[in-house]
Amino acid sequence: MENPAATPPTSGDLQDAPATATAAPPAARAVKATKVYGQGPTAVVALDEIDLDVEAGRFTAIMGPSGSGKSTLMHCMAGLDYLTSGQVFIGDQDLGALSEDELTLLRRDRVGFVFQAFNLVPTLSAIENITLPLTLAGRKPDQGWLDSVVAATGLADRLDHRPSELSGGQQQRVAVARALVSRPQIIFADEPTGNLDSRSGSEILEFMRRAVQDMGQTIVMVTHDPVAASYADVAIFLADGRIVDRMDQPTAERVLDRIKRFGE
Amino acid sequence: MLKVAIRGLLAHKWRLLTTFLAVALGVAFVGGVLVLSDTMNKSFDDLFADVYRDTDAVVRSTETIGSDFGDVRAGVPIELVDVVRAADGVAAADPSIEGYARVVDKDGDPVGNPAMGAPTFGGNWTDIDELNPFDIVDGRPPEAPGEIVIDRGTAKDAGYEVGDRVTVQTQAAAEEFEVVGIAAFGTADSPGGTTYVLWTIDEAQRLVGEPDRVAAVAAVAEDGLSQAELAERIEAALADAGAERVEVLTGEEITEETQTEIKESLGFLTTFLLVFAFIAVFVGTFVIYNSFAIIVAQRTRELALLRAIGARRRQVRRAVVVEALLIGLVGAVVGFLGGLGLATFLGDFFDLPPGSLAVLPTSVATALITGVVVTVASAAVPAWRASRVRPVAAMRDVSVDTAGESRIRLAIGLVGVVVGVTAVVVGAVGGDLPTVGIGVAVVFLGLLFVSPGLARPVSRVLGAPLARLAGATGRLAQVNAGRNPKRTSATAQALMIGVGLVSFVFVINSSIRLSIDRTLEESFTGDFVIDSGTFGVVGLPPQIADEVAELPEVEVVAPVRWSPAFVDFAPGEGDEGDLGDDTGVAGATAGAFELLDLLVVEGDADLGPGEVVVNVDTAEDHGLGLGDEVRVSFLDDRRPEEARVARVAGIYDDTRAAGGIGSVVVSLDDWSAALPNASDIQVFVQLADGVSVAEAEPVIEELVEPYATAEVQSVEEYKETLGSQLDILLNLVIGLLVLAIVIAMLGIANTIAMSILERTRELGLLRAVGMRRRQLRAAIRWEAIIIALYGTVLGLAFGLFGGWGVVRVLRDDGFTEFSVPVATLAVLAVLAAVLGLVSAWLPAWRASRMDVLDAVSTE
Repeated sequence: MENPAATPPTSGDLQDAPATATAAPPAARAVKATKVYGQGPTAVVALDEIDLDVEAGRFTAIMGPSGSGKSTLMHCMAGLDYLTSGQVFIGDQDLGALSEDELTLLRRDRVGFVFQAFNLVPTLSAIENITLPLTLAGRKPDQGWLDSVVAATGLADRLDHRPSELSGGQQQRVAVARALVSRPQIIFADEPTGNLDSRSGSEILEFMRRAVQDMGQTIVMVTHDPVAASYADVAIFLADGRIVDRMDQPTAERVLDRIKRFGE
Repeated sequence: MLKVAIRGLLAHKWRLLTTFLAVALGVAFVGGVLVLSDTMNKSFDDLFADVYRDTDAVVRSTETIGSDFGDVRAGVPIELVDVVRAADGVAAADPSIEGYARVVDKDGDPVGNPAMGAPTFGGNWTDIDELNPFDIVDGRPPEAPGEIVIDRGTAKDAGYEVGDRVTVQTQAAAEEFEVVGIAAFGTADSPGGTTYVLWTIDEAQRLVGEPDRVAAVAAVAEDGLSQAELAERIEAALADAGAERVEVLTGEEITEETQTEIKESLGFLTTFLLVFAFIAVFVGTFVIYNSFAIIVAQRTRELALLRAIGARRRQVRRAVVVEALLIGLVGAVVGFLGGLGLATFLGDFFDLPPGSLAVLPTSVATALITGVVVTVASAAVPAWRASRVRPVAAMRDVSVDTAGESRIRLAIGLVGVVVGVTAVVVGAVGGDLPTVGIGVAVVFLGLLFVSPGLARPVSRVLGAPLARLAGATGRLAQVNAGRNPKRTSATAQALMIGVGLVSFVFVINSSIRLSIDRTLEESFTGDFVIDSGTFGVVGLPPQIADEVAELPEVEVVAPVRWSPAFVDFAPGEGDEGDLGDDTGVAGATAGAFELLDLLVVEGDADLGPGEVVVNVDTAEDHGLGLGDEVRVSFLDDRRPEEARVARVAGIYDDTRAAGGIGSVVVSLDDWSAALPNASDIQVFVQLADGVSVAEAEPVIEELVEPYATAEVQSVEEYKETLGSQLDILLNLVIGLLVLAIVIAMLGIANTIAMSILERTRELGLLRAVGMRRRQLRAAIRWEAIIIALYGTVLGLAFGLFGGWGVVRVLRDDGFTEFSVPVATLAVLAVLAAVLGLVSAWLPAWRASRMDVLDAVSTE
């Protein structure tokens, strides 16, 4: 698994993360994305015809109060959940056109995930967790890339430890590394700092920030924390299943201001 | 708290499905065996009540002798029949003569086999209706020699009708008779599947009796006379006639005695089956224990909450126990109903009259109590553990069962295994069977203690090739199998028991077969064995040996006989009336010693009249030397007592071969003088120089053709015959152990299903990061296979070692070789892996269908 002579990830547009160009086509798109839970008079509209382009090579934060639909949007865009109507794309791939197994492969090869908690397989070591998407695909990691991802986590000396032997922040860094290792087209992070103290949280956010800046990764993060959102290039605000605002180069203060206005 | 228990039960009823099945299957087996036993007892009770319904008294000999096939009773002198008939109060009396006889069907094959099923009898027809349980349904009773009546069951089986000419083989001969009548036994075709041939009294005496003896005399009282009074009067008449060693039983007494005897012999069958039923139940305890242990671990937070809001430890414990009680009760009731089905099925198999299940309250109670007690006892430790949950656990994060291996436990187990292994080795080498038995038990208990500690390393080793071959799925299976060592080991232990017993039986079987083969190869110098195909239950007419001896192709013919007898090793003055000990006695010629390559260490084995040969042990035990006298008396021995004394003419060594011929070997001349209707158990044949087996076989086959039961076997065929006797038992035992293995498989399915439930989020995560459904399924199946293989490895180790111990300790009793049936055991291991795979099929499928999002967001 750690064979240095391993072939680098080959051709396949799958791995070619959009390392440059802000003018590149969007990494992911939602078109009139609608999600309704339940039926008839009790139906709840979680997503109401949302249109969203996620720009490649940028760090996008999706903000909003509880029940605004931000998590649902992320789940649908990541192929974990299905829309009631409308479309979502990863690159130019319409997820609605994919079978369950094709979706799985898409998640494996083109999408990375960082969850709020329970992010790692407890029985596998840190390095096994990091390389899991590759081993599931039966691929050898590109050793150079793996080394740089591992180096970025700052956990090179703890790679053989089990998750239970790592701190929460360390576990989350392993999770981000796992998301990065297959050079996915896009990484979705669901409240990645939600379970962490503020210092560990800022480490993770910094780590993700560098992944975008230095490695050209595309990251979409759902959060309700204005400080977390301030690490992003752009913040999207959701309320009642609709996009209500968008902010470039957000800062914690501005985000907080904007959030306060939701209540009004 | 009862409400909590019931709610809890309902909330995870599916999780308890396998527990329920484990209880139900075990109870079904126990209940089925008990009901079957009751039913058989009842139908035999009814049968003999019918047979003796109108018999008021029976006269028989008091002389009996014990043998492997039950007690054998001497006959009654025929002149006593007239004494009984003439006795005061006797309305009618007839002798009863009964012996072995088999009808040969149109293809030349004998009907029925007394070695495998119901007996095959021949006897006399009696015209006294009260004494005759048969009714003619076609034709008429036998009136002359050469005529027979057969039971309707035999007539149906063989397709015979009145007027057909039929060959009947007895111990003494094979002759042709005309069927003049077909009889039914009440409404049944025959009594319990037994076949009957009925002759006139004279014919029956000639063919299955002794010339001047009958088995018993049955009498009917005059009207108004009680059975007891009749018996007294007959006793008086017999005493007047000077009859010795006879007794009179009333009809009631003989009925009861026969019923009791049958019950006792059926008791062995019941006990034998119950042993396996309880093995299945025992295996079930592991499954039940595991279920509750896992459920308690998974409900830690809920239990802690109960404790936090004020439930006492006792209440929490009781809640779990009540759950176990309920599931045990439901499982036991359903299981018992299943047992009724099993009993019906087996009843058909044993030809019991349909629709007559006897369900006794004691059997119902035994089965239900077994189910409930076993379930509650298995849940006791988990219940105790539940009560130890601390309230603070309610505030903690999701808790899973991470109970690891305890060092103390491991140490105790290791000590147990070492002590047990030492005991087995010491006992085996020293020839002490009890020590070996105890050692095997200690090893077993030790393994139970050790196996949680071994679960992780062993699954690491077993899973290592998987991780290499199957990549991520194999690696996950490997680590998951070792994840909850206690759980994995309890699951594997259940399988270990079944696999251990099966492999033990295989090893013993294979060792006996190899021992027989080696012994025959090394010591049997003959070319053929003629055998009755009934494992020695009945013999062959001696004419066969005589006729074969006359063939020019044949050099040596060595018939061997066997019978229980009384042997007095020091006949002398003052022991009149004391015939000696019950001992199995063989009859043979010098040829038998030659063909079996038995070493005569003193004297010779020519076995002239008045000579016996004894084995070394017997000579030692009784201080016998050449020329010493012993007295051998058979039942119904026709020789006067003084003519039964023989001289020891030879002492032979039977320790080298598998058993030799017997401890006391009598000459055939003496044998025939004592028992004119004797038969040979086996006849060994050696061909003349230059005659090939291929040449001689058809000639001998043709010669014995008229004797339907005689089987001519070359040495190779004979080996196979001996081996196949063992295979019948082997197959039976393995068939009975199948349920134990099935329950163990349920345990694997159970463990896997519950573990998956516990790992919902983890599996969701795996699916989210790109594990395909079939990869997930594969990982789960591999995990089950690793657990199954772990149990198999433990079982094989246990079975092989136990087998070695037993074979080694019995080395001097014919287990000369230790043999491991490698191919069979390999198949067993593969089969276990496949069963593991199958048992994980459904849980794996379900896990792969779960909603990824739900799984990830499940708390």
